[in-house]
Amino acid sequence: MDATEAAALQPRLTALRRLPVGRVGIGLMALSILVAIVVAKSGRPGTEAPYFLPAISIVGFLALIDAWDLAVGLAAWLRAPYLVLPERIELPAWTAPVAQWLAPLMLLLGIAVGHYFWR
Amino acid sequence: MSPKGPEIARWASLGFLLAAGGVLVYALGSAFTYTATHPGPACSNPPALAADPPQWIVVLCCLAAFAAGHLSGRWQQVDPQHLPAAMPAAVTEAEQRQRGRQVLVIEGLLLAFLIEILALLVFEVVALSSGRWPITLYVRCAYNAAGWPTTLGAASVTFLLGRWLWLPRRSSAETGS
Repeated sequence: MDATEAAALQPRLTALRRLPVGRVGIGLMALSILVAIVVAKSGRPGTEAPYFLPAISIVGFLALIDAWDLAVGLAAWLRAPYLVLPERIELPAWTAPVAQWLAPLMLLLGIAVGHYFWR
Repeated sequence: MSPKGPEIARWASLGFLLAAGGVLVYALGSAFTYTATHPGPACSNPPALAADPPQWIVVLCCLAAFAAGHLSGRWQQVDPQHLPAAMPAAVTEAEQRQRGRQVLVIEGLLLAFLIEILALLVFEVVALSSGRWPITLYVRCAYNAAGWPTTLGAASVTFLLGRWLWLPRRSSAETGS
């Protein structure tokens, strides 16, 4: 069954699965980083704490996306099992090296930032 | 590579994974045992920054373990039927339900992992804001009190991160593209 057939049979479930939440996540990350910098620069006590706001925001947002997908997946599993299966997301070719090296780069960045908090 | 090469690599990969798990169990067991049998703290307050081994050795061990996790992740056995290029469309409803159940289990485990990380981050922020010990100081205390076991524990964690998050580059045959 292709995507067109699935959308025709289960239009509401298909629409729920395709909400463009990724853009909201990117906006949330940018906003939380901005808020963290402003709050940390304000000189209040515990200036390290605001720097955890971006991490909390993005992890919390990912948890919400996963919980949402799980809820929709459970609903689909009961009514339309073919909708539970993940669709392949074709990414542009230039993202392949980024995805390949993102984890080690983030580890090095994390060690550098963690070094600041360690002190 | 000889015909036995892939088999040896798979066993080595499994051995590394078991070793990382064993080190983590040992480190956690040591921490619990010490806490249960000693009323006082294991280090000064705040914990000293320097300990044995030096910090640069800890960082090097963690980086090496991260790379080892990445490399050994390539050695594990992958069932060809799970590769996208070979994965047939589920034709019967029973197969679709079975594959759908596997997807939901993975999503459930991911959700539990994300909630755990979220709880740790919230604890860190609350501790930093209220003047209590954040997770950072507990880790520093463990490093100060038992440098080498803590280093091995940290290396095991980065080994698992390298294995699970630093994905190996798939060949075109595997990706189906």
